[in-house]
Amino acid sequence: MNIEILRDAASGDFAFARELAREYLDFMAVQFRLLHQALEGGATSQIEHAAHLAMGSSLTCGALQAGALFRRLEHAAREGRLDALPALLAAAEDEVALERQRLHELLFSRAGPGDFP
Amino acid sequence: MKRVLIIDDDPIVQRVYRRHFSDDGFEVRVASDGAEGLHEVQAFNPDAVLLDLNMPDTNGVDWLKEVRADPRFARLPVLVLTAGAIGWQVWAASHSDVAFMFKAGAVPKDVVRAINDAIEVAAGRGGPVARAGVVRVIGRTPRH
Repeated sequence: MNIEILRDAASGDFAFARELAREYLDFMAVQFRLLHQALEGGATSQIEHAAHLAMGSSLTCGALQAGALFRRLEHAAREGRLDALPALLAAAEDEVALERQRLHELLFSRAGPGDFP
Repeated sequence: MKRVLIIDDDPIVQRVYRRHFSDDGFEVRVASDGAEGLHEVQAFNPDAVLLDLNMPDTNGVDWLKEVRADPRFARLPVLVLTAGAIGWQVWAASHSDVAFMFKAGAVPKDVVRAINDAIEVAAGRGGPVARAGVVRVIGRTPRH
């Protein structure tokens, strides 16, 4: 998690950063459900679109490693490389799980109004 | 009051840029796909558009062609904010008089500033942000 990008996205407002982080994590849960459904159905165009959305959200919030994995997932789906998709999706899920932990440490483990580290 | 239309189906992008444009004194509307964006261009008559290239029902290049075909919007300032564009999209959009930024490197305050500059250019007052046929990629270097 690049905290500088998250701080810029939130306009320096710590409370807004918390809201964004919650929305980002909720949105990722939705996108992962869609990605798994699309993968089971072999729907590469749906995988491509869901991965693209997840990439944009990740980059906007500063989750750059996750964004890079979603980019690879999007490209693999566009190129029809079905065999590569499960491993990339699993890697993206692992990375977002790490981001969840990082966001908890950075934003949610602090009592009170809090501030950026 | 200045008006900006955000066309992007990414809820995080919508939330971030709605906040930044509102803080800068803009009236903001958001559209989640190309059809809604076309409707809002007509109904809201924005001073500028922040446009994603990958939409559920169309792509930003085709959307731009349709909007530019209407003389009322031939010079409407448009800034493309994309998570990733492939070559033909950049080439085609560059022929539709737009500026480009990439989400990986975009600082929201810079995006707002670029939109303000583009509005000034369109009004004949500002600097060269969004000239015809010129792709300007602005923002900080992406970090990974």
